[in-house]
Amino acid sequence: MSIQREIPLAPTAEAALETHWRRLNRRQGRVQKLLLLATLISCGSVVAILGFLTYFTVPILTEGHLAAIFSWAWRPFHGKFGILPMVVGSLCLAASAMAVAYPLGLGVCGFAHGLGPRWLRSPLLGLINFMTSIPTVVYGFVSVIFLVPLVRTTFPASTGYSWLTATLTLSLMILPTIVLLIQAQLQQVDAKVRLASAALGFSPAQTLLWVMRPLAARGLWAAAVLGFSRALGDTLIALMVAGNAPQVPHSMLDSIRTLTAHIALVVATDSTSRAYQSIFVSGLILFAVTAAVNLTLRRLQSRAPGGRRHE
Amino acid sequence: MNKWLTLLAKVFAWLAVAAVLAVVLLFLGFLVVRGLSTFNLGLFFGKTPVWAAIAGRLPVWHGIWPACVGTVFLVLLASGLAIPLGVASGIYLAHYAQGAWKRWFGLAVEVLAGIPSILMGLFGFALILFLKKTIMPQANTCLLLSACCLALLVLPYLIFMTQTTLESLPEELRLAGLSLGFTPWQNMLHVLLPAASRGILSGVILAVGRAAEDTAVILLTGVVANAGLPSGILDKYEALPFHIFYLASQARNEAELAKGFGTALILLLITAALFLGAYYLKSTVTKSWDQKDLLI
Amino acid sequence: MGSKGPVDLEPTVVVEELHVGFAGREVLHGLSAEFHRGRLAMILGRSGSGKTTFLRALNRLNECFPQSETRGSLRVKLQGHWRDIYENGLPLPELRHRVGMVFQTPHLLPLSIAENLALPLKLILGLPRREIPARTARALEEAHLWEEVKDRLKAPAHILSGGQQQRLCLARLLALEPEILLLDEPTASLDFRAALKVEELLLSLKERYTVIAVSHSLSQARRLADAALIFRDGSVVQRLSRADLQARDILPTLLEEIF
Repeated sequence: MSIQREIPLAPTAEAALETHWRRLNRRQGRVQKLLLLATLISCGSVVAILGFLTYFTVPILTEGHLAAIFSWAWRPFHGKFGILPMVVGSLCLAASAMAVAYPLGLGVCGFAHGLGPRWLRSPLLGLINFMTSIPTVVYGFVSVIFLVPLVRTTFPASTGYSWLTATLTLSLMILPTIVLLIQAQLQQVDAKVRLASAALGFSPAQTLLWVMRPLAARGLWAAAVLGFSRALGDTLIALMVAGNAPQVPHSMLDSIRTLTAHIALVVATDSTSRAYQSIFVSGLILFAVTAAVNLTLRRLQSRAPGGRRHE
Repeated sequence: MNKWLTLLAKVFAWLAVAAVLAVVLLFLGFLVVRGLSTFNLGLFFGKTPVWAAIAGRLPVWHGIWPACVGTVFLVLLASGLAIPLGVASGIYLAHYAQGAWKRWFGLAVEVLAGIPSILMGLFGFALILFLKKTIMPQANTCLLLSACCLALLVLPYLIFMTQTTLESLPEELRLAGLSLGFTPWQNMLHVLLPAASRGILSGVILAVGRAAEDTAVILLTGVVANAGLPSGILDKYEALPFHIFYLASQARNEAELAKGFGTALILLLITAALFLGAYYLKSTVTKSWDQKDLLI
Repeated sequence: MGSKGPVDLEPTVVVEELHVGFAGREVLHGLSAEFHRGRLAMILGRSGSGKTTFLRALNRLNECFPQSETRGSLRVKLQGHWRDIYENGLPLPELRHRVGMVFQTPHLLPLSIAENLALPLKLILGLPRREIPARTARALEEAHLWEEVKDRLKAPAHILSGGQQQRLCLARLLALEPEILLLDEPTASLDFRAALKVEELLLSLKERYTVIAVSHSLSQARRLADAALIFRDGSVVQRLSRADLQARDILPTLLEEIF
């Protein structure tokens, strides 16, 4: 007894179906190749960037200028192309900005998770979230108009363009990154801990300090690391308000230059090839440091929700 | 002892929030007040008549219209390059890449995301140097170069959002399509991508916002203070963020400074609007998934 | 199942020595079973006993998971001919629309009701546009849904209730003219009344199709099943006929097996 279909397909209809499926198969293969190509281009760009940086740095090694580049004096007209003051400048600025922004970030997060009233939490976090949309150049502009004269009048010895000014501005810019990263981690921990903690009789403040903080250690580290990396990578703020003097600072009122600002300045002033070499070395250093930071970050967290912010 | 520590922490938190709120509100208030006062046609077009300026017949000398147009072209070009590339890569990484390949690609995207913007600009600059030395001596920094470098800058957002959104779709959705008899690509095109469209769109908006506000990349790849309307993609051009940067140090009088505020406010309004759009989209996306989780 | 069934019903699905594993770990251990047209077979067992994996083996859906391995013989009778589901002459989309599957939660496309049915017809069968409305109407009638949606075919599909959505998924399947229906806990996400409506539909469908359903509910099995397979830890531990299911004294053992 054969099974009777309700509408038997005629032989030609069957053949049409077969060609339809064969066509689909071919398209399938083509599409997959295109997608792979796109991915290769995207990921290959990293290799390209590294490649170009290295390509332009190689002459330094072959011409034996490495020692000259890693020296302490940047005076191009006297033939001195040392970038170490800029390395120090970058580190100092990033460290000081973190020293201001991280505690503030902790305070804000703590406020939002138990140390402050619950009803203020959403508006506060909303405002911080909104801050991520403020362009860096706008931070720099307002700082030049507002903060620089303020520093100048408060400390008559300085021009207003200084390490201090840059610190204050940069810390404001990286604050949202720190807050949102810690906040995301606290939120995850909060969900697991809140009921049990309340049942034990802890107040929200106590929950935060004694129960959540140890559990959120990962997020705290990640925020510190990512914030530092963002501060290192910033160009505009350092360029606009740090003064750009290629020297090692002795006080917060001194003018400093970061590696990022150095790159921008040298390209703008179109000078000698030795100067150009210095910017490629600077670029390579920045690339290495930020890549290292990112890879450490990968180990620290699997995929925390605020982990991606714009640079 | 504990009581004192808790009290100390509370005081610290309140102080921190007060300080941050004060600074941010001052900052925004300052910007809005001084910026709004310059909002008029003169800000955009200077002394040139409006329609002539828009048609490109007469140059605009003291207005930001050329910078606006430059930014628009730049963002369009960069997005046109980055969106197909980024979304396609995201799709590949979410559904086709396996094992070691997937890990290496993921690593590359993460490194790309962490590269500071100035290095993207430096890459473009290096590219021109290289071309000048070798096959194209007339190569120069231009709109096209900036767009390419900006595309690289925003690529990670697109890849990340696309990949994450696709990966968080319920597994059964993919299986349902396949079990009907769709081929994997038909399934992607007609079932998965429409379901992921909101998340992907929010990634697009984030990318566009980032491209519009960036200054470091364009600083090294072809933006100038006075170029008029962009006449071609191989020419120099003006852009809003650079205009602000330029005015910060080169403003010669109060009027120009005021224009700086106006420009800054406009740029902020653009990025804020884009941010709100992306935020709204992202929040509607996560809401629907949370509900699905509750069912399980 | 074979020896207890009526003699004039021929099998349409024959499974022999089926082993399925993922990443080296075997989930199904040498299963054998037969299924017939005109009967509704139910698969019962605890979570993790391999029921869904077995169902997915029949339309090769396990291949969508990485590192899956399948050994054994799986033959289905399609259009009067016995086919091995892995044979070269049987394209995957063809197998999958002739052996159709419905899932626990309805997964509709973000389109209108009519388009949910039209799109697979167009893309999978390559059906010309003029034939689509007739097929759509017939499928909706078969799924007992036509009366409820005929006036709002252009409305988005997600406005339907849970039960209606599940019946729409069935309609979408039926439009493709399958021969074997695989149902993975079809009423699990529905409330009681909606579930009853779907069960009515299933009873009417079993006349023309081979229906194999996975269920968590013993009472559902007693209402619907002509035969039942009890799974445990990847093997079939009991095969029951309709009579067995209705018998009272079997109940305690069954409960223990399943829950």
